[in-house]
Amino acid sequence: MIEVYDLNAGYGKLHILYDVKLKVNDNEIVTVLGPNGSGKSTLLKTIMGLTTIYGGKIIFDGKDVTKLRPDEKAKLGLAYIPQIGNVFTNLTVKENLIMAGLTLDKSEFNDRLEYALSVFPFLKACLDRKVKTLSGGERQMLSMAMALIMKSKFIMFDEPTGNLAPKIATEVLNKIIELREQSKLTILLVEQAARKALEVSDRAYLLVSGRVIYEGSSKELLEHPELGKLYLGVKKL
Amino acid sequence: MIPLALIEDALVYANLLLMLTVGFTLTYLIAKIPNFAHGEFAGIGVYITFTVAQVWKSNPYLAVPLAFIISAFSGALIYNGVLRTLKRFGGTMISLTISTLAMQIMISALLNIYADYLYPIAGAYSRLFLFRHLDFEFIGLPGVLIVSTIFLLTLITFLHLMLTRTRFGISLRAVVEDSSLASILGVNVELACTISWMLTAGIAGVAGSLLPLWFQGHPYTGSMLLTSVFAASILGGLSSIYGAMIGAYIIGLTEIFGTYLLAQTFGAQLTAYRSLIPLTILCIVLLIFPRGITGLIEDLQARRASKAMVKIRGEGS
Repeated sequence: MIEVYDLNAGYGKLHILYDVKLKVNDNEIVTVLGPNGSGKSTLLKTIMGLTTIYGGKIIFDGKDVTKLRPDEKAKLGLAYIPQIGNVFTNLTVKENLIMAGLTLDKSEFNDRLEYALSVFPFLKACLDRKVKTLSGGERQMLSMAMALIMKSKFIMFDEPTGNLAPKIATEVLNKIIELREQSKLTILLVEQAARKALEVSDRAYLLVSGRVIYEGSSKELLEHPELGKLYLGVKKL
Repeated sequence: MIPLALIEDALVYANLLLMLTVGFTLTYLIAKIPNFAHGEFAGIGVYITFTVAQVWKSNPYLAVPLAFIISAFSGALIYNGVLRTLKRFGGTMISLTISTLAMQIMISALLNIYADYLYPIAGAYSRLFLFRHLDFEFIGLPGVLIVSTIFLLTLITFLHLMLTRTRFGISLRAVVEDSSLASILGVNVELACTISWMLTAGIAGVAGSLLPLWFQGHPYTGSMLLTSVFAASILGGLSSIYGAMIGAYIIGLTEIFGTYLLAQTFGAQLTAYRSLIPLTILCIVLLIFPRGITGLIEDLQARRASKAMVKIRGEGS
């Protein structure tokens, strides 16, 4: 689905990612973990085309998308749900859902809207409400409903459970598993809550100071004697 | 008793100012920079009317669509030729704003050159000209008042429907709030900016093309209007085009009636200081309610919501 080769990127002259290699196969959930400031969010932004790329390649479905603009990548089926600012607070819920379906024709949008509302039924009651009146958890659910509407095959979530109450966070992660199973999506996940994220994902990458220092199955990382303890705060069961 | 001509003056001026202010505010919201060259699009419109009326000896209203097209093209050229290029080379908000100031000076100079070029061709003064005698009258009202009002009502309806009912309009509002999020959802932000610059420059061109039918036109018309546009936009709150509409009408009417009252009280020499009125309002707004009319309305709504919340909690306990 997506392959990243020797990616070097950052913001302007600020170099953040060094020779990052990453691969996500079809219908896989892959988690990127690492301490604060390790470049996890920058990696997702770079794949989406929001940073400066100094070198390397991003291949999506066999096509080189390294130099494409974010809107061009969105039309190809890449989606990125940022950690914060993932919804338009001054627009209504319905307008946010319309924004998510920009690349779709009307009938396809209506079908997907109906499906998204069946997955997140609480949104039906607040379609005309401004998003700024929703709670943090409701906004996160809205962003996931938007991800369902997007014509995407590959979704990148940046800390979807950040700042959420534990119960809501579990609900959000369960929805991500549902997305993969019901919509046959491929998912790349960046998470601070390491244990929970590893439990829902197939494989994981550990990023430290902008470099990949571990790649393997999530189970192996959870049980790794040193890495889990050092970088993820994961205690061995 | 206020003379009828003065009321007509005020209404025509407020209509034209509103067209300019809505465009200025929309451009600011999307590009996040104040476009100091915005008034010059009106200046272009003024000289298109002069060309149509004096050089081609045609109906001055034929200049309206032409002014829209040429000003829109100029807007696209400035955005893509100057601002996008500067952004690509890492231009900051300050350098981009200064570049619009440079564009304002350049267009104003070009208009001066064009005015001098037209003088021998037209065989008439190409500075300080007035075409009231070429305008029509309908039920005792000047044509420019009727045309500008109809255009304005159509414009407001069009903008409202576009921004709330169309995918493009919703995308524009999304770009205003978070251009990066809009881009990852599939909005071509640069294209949206180009279209909005074309639209707002075109509207300013239309305002300029109607202006010589009621007020004197000259190469500095655009830059002189900019003070009032700036004041109206800030009074409106700079964050909403609806606020800009209210701000433009308040500034437009206050400027005309205020100048008249001051001239009546202290003498006609005071009309030379007319631009002090919008400047004074600008200072008052910045000192007392810097978020403008939109901010006042938002504060009022927030206070009402919080009172309602307290009431609900009180009933709950």
